[in-house]
Amino acid sequence: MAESKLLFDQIKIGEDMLSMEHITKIYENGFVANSNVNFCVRKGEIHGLVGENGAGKTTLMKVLFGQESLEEGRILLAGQETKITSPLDALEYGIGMVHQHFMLVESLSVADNMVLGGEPVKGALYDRKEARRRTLEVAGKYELAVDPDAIVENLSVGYKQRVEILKILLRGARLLLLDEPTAVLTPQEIRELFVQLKKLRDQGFSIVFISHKLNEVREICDRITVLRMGKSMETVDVADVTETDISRMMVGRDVILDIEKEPAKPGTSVLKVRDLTYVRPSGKAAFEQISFDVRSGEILGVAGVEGNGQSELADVIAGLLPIGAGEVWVNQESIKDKKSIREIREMGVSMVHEDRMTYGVSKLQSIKENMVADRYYKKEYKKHGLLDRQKIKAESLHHIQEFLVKCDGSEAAVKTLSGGNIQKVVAAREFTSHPKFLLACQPTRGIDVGAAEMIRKKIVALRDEERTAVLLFSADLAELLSVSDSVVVMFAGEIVAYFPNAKQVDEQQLGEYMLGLKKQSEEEIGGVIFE
Amino acid sequence: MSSLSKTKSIEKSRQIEQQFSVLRTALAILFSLIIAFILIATVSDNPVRDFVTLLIGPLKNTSRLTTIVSKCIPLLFTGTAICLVNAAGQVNIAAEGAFFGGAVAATMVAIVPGIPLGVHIPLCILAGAAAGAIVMGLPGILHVRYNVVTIVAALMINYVALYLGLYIILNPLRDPGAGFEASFLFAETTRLPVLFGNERIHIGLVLGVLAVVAGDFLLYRTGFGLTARTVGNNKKCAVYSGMPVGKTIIGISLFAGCLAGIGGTVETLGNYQRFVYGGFTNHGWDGVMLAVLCHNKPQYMPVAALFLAYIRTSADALNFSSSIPPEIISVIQAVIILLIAAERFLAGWEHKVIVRNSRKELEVQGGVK
Amino acid sequence: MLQYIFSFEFLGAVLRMSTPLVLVGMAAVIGAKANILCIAYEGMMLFAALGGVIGSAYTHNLVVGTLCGMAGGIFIAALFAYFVLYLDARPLLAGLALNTLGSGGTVYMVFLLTGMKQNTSNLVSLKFPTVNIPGIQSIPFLGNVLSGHNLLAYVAFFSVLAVWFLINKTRLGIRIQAVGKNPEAAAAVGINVRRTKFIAMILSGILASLGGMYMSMGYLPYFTTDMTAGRGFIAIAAQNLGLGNPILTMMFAMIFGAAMAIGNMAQSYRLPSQFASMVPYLLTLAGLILMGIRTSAVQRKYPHL
Repeated sequence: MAESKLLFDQIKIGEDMLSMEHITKIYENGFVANSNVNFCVRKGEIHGLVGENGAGKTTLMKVLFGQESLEEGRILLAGQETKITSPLDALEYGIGMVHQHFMLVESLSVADNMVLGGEPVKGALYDRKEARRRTLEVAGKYELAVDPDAIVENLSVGYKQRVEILKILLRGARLLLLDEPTAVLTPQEIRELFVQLKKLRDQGFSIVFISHKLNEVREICDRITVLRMGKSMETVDVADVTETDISRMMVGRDVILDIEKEPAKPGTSVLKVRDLTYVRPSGKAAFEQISFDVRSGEILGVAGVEGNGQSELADVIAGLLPIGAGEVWVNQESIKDKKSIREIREMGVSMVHEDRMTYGVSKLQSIKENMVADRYYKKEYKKHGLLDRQKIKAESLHHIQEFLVKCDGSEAAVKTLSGGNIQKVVAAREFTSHPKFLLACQPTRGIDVGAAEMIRKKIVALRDEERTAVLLFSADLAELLSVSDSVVVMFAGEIVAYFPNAKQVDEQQLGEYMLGLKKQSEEEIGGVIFE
Repeated sequence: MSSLSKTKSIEKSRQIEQQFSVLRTALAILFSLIIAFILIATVSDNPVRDFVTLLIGPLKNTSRLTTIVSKCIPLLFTGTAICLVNAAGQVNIAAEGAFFGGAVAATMVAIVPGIPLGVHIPLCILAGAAAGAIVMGLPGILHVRYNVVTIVAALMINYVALYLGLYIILNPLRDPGAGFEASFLFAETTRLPVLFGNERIHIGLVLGVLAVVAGDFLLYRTGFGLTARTVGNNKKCAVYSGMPVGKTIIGISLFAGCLAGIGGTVETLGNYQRFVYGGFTNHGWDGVMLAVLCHNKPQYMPVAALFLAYIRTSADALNFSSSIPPEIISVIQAVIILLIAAERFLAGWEHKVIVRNSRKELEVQGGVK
Repeated sequence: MLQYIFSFEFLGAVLRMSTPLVLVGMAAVIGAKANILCIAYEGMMLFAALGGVIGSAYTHNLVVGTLCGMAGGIFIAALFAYFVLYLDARPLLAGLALNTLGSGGTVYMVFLLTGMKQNTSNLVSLKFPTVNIPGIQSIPFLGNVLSGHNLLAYVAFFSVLAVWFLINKTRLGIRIQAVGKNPEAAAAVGINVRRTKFIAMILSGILASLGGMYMSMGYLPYFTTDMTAGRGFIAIAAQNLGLGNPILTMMFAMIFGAAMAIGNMAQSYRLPSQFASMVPYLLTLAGLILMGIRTSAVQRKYPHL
């Protein structure tokens, strides 16, 4: 196996060192993550792998790194077909990965982490001196300065990343896969990283730079490959394309969803968000000074590439995260003084979390119990102080029918259901409480077409029949543009655009706002506030 | 796979899981009995006779049958208590201290003379419940308010309750007139009424059954119980659904403590004339084992408690008939817990059966892809 | 009474009580570094205590006796490690089961070997000797402090250094830290996480064995039913307060040992000993609460995240 590393060294700069051909990966639940993807990297280049979340970037890298198997396709290293079975295997072939969550032991020193798994010994003792020496040697060789004795948990994020890179270089990596490396760095640290990456490239290393931050991709990459909905769109030289071109490749609808929908007749504002800010524990703000309204009988969609603050915004409105600064009102009542999520829900708020298995359902419990989780404590569900089991069962059977949940009865545990049916259980609970405001996050992610269609229909029905104000977060542009009445775009923790009529949105344009290439005026954005 | 066959396949997998669960329990008991036999064989001159005593000794006469019931009573309380906190996801093993504390508190009230008959016993029970609630409630409170790891807090408070209780018994409440270290005599008015004319079966039995029923009702028939179980199964979902997590954890710890405390009260007043414990009685630890056997469902507690009481009585019978130390039961208990707790025991086999079953279903469907 | 506390007899008493606590405390430190929730030390101590007595009684050889004791303790540790690491048993239950096994199993074996049920006093087993260091013992003040203690007391002290050394200066120690803090990172570089944790538990077992053997071959000259009386849990408390650091753990173990010594002494002054006995547990609770208060109010309000 060591031979391939030598092969990597034998080929010349500019030749293909990695070629992934016709890669197809389908997950157990039928979800097609990669479909006929072609991806190749040359020696001595920085190659960007670009696409939205869910486009298949992570899966492709997992396949390359030996963490997932493939249905079809092959991997060629320096022209030779190779089977990679595990991350350790990949490393021996010279492929190293720097994950978003660092693989470092925080309580140990840099040198300790560098040699972990291959620690030098002197007799019975761990030879820390030698570990230090090796660290300094490799640091000097690649000009990535580190202090071998520093304890990892005291280091800045950028520093830790440098250690991770050095670690795989020490183990002989020639092809470095960096997964969203700048997501956690300060601007200064990003500068430094880019300098280091360029130096490595000039020395003949190849780097795959996975990101959706277009400006950075343009700055650092030589070529980029765009993935969209599991397929590889194009591989282009960065010099030949503009950011607009890239955004057009990344963001688009492959399908146009036609949802029969009357035009909205919005009423007064139900949800009012003013100057809302949330700062993460690490000190970085997830979003700042967000202001918008959602009116009754209206569906407001939030577009944006994931990681721009949407998840945190949804969690703050739901009461899962504390308000940093600013206000949130539901029908003139502030949620700030609400002590618990139950009190927020009692204001008439329903919420569908994007992570349904963690927050949406308790999978070991029955469908019945999951369906009443938000209301079982109320008077109507009690009989002589105990739970009114008949009523609960009758109600859940009714919901099972109405939402077409395919199950083995209301007593069945939720874990026995398919993803789509689990989401239907969540919908059955959240949509039937006559909500005044519905917070829906990624409501149809990862579920089958039939279930997705039903849930979208139900959301529109809530808008019409119950005059519910709906705030819809969705990474699926087709869904977002067809279900929403109007759309706001979030980028880097701010609202950068507001489109009052979703039917009139040109998604090329939308992409440019989503990727931070354009921003509307204060006035236009202010259109989403109805005082 | 069509969705209908997928449902059937899931159903069959569920059945297989259940079957293996039963198989594991049965094998655990079988293994432990085999080991017990081997151990008996090494110390006994008639291993077969002694093993038979182990198996059916308790059925030999009424006295032994009575012992089974008598030993079962305290277990109903502590077992249910642990079921309750386990269901809420709390590893709160302070039932031991709560039981002991309940006994001490009951003693404090029981030795007071002059309290009318109908009032004295309920007062003792109240005292026991209160003491138990404090002991088991504290780890819950510390966990919710200060993020303290429940199991460590519970371990510690067991010993605090023990030593505090011993101090109270051996100092202010100590009877200098008794020939040994013990408290003053309990008042006549605290003698628990007996059942079936049998002196050793007191109304504690009724209370114990009530405790089990109350536990079951609480967990499965009340909103509070639904909250507790959701907290135990998926705390984040409980939070997101709006459930009051902290209050529920504290509430269920307090309630469980009450049960354990009443268990201590009833065991002391029902069987003794004074407080006689010199240390832990181990009923709390037994409760942990029983909760495991019952999968945290109080409805199975009577069976589990009877089982444990049965083998404890076997041990006594063995000890009586051939001087074999009753601690041999500890070995049986240990083996059973170990094998049941080992979730991957037989996992390989179980997985093969499930896969084989799924393949069969696919074939019926018409060809594997 | 105050006079007694500053006497050499008291120091001796403190060391007598602390020795097993320090040894088992070190065992708990290793377990904690490997991130294993082990409460089975009582069981390990009891098996080791009995094993040492039996081994030394039948062979009249202290070394063989020690090895037998270690075999007993390691047996329990290995069972624990196997069930938790390879069969996915919940550590609390496995620990509980093994403590039960330790308690009952030892009584059973005492009966098997001696026909008695309380203790092994009719066996002639050996004790670990008292060590009088020539030269030092004649120094006026220091002599009494440093010399004349049981061999295992010195071993206990060295074990603290040894454990510190193991964790920080050996390859195994570095790996134990790695699998404890971030098993994914360790696995990513090819370390066998389960095997490393298993080895850590065996080392833990060796130390716990020494602690157990001190009870029956130093503190007392024979084995008695349940003679550990919760010392295993006190050692866990010491390790908790010591935050897994060997030196701090030793310090707390000795504080607890002093509390136990005061407790014993209190009885002869006809003062209640129970308050002294409570000290280790109350201290741990207080420590845990203090640590909890230090986490921010926001973190406490949103602990579910």
